[in-house]
Amino acid sequence: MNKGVNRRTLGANILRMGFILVALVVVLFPYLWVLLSSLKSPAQLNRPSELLFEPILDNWSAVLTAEIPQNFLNSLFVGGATVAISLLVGTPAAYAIGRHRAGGRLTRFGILTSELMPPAVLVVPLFVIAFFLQINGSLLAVAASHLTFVLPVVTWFLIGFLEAVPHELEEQALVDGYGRFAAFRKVVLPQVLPGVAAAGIFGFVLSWNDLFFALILAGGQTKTLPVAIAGYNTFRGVELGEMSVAILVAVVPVLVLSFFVQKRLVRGIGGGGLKY
Amino acid sequence: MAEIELRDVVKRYEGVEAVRGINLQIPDGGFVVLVGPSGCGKTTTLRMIAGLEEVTEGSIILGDRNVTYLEPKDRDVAMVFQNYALYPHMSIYDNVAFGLRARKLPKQEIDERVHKAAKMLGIEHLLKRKPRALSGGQQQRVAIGRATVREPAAFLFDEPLSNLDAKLRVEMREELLRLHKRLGTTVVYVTHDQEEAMTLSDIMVVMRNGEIVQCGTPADVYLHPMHEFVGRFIGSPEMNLLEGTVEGGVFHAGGVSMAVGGQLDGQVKLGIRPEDVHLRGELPGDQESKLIDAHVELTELLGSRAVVFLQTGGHKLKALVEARELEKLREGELAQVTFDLDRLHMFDAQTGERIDETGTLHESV
Repeated sequence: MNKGVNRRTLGANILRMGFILVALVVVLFPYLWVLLSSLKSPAQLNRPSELLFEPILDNWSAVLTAEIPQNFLNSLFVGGATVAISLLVGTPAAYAIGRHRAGGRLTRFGILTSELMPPAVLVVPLFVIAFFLQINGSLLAVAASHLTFVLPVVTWFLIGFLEAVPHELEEQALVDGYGRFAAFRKVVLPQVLPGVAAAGIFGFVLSWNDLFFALILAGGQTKTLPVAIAGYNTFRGVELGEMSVAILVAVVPVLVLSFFVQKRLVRGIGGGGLKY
Repeated sequence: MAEIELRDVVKRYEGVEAVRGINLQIPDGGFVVLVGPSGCGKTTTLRMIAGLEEVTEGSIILGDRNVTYLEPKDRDVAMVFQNYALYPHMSIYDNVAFGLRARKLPKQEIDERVHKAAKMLGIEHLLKRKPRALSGGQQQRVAIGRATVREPAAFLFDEPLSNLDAKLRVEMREELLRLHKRLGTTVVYVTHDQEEAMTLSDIMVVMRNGEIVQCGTPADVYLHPMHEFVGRFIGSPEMNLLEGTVEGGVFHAGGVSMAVGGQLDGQVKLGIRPEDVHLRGELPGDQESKLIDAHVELTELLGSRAVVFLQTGGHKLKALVEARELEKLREGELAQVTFDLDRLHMFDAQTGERIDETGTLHESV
């Protein structure tokens, strides 16, 4: 009897491990492929199934001495500015919607409908506005365009976290002698800081990955990483080796950030729910 | 310290009246308990005093100030919530000092006051810990400490003991009374537990459906419930109610009839507390009704006392008797009961209002 149970759990474990292994291969194989490609010469790239080859660093040196570091910094700036503004505006908005039901149920869920709008609809007006404000081709214009999809997501993400803070905490602070804003800052905000951090990283990744807005709104000097990566698709054909290097440069920060927030990311998407 | 006065206070939420024109005077240093079933408006009333709910109509006076439209922070009241509402990210020290810092007191005075309050409540050794590391009882003490340290005009308690286990609840009850005696600050306390209300209050305010049904000392409310609802809500086990008619000074209900005196005729409900239902021979006296036969359905031993569930003439009756009385009883057999005629409560069958004793009732048989 006991043995049978053991055998069953053993079988289940093997099945589980096998499933995880398959999932790992499916997820990691593309990264491995890109990594190998980045170390291949153009000739070797034409033989993609060849796994044993002499790695070269030509692609890496070419990419890292070209504009990619600048593109990296551009993306960093755009992501940083977008996230900073999104958190500054989105946190109070989420508080108003979650705690005080501002805008009613419609706002609570309707806020995400902006994500349904095709970016193509927005890009022309944004281009025109940027032109009139004389910020066309600047990183600021790109960051502003990113707010159109990062701000709603950040706000929506934070609503769940702010709703989970017991009202009594805030009310206690009000009775204890603080005004609404001070009570929010001293008591409510510290409870949701982990959520704010997760929302920030989530928003940063969204901005970091955007190609469409950056492609149209950025200028020659202000290309972001995705735009630069797309640039390796030249009239001579796709420069796969260098492109692979650029892709890795773009992907690694996202992977690292995601690793740190994965738990909270799931919780945030699932609608908050911190325990006290 | 201050007295609190509510004048015609009304609270309406989107057309629903949660509180319907309450008038209440709470004397300086009084311990007032608002008690009633859930949804009776007691918590809303407390929150209006704290300033956490807006007052729809009427006014609230605290001491000599009209605080109706003041922010909570400007009212000088302290509140203890049911879940204690300790700030999870702060140490116990910072929790207790929070309200003092809000009032920008000098650092040294804050330190002195925090330590004094901590000592009084026996939480000195916990000051450096975080709330989550404390037991429920300890958290409760911290919440009370945080309230007392501010030396406010009034304390507001919102069911502060309901999250504690039964034993701790009784302990904290005593402690609250001692604290109140020592500080002499006005207290408004909300609970749904009638026993808690009885033991703690100077003045007990029984509420139902957003209105005050009765307000008085616990003894007064217990001995002279002004409404059938109060009679049933206050006291455990619940008061027996017999529905019947009075004709020529005699009460009839099913097989039960007894002389209650008076000239008032009509439909009434007769309230008899379980401790005023006596089994034969238990309490000899001349203020008793004649013997009534009743079936013993069930007995419940509480310890020194016991509840006997009886059935007579289609009526269910509960009697609270000394535990040793049980020896004479067998479940399913007949017993003879009498009522303490001095302690009957007569209520109007329609309105539930008490029928005034000075009028006609309660003359001896």
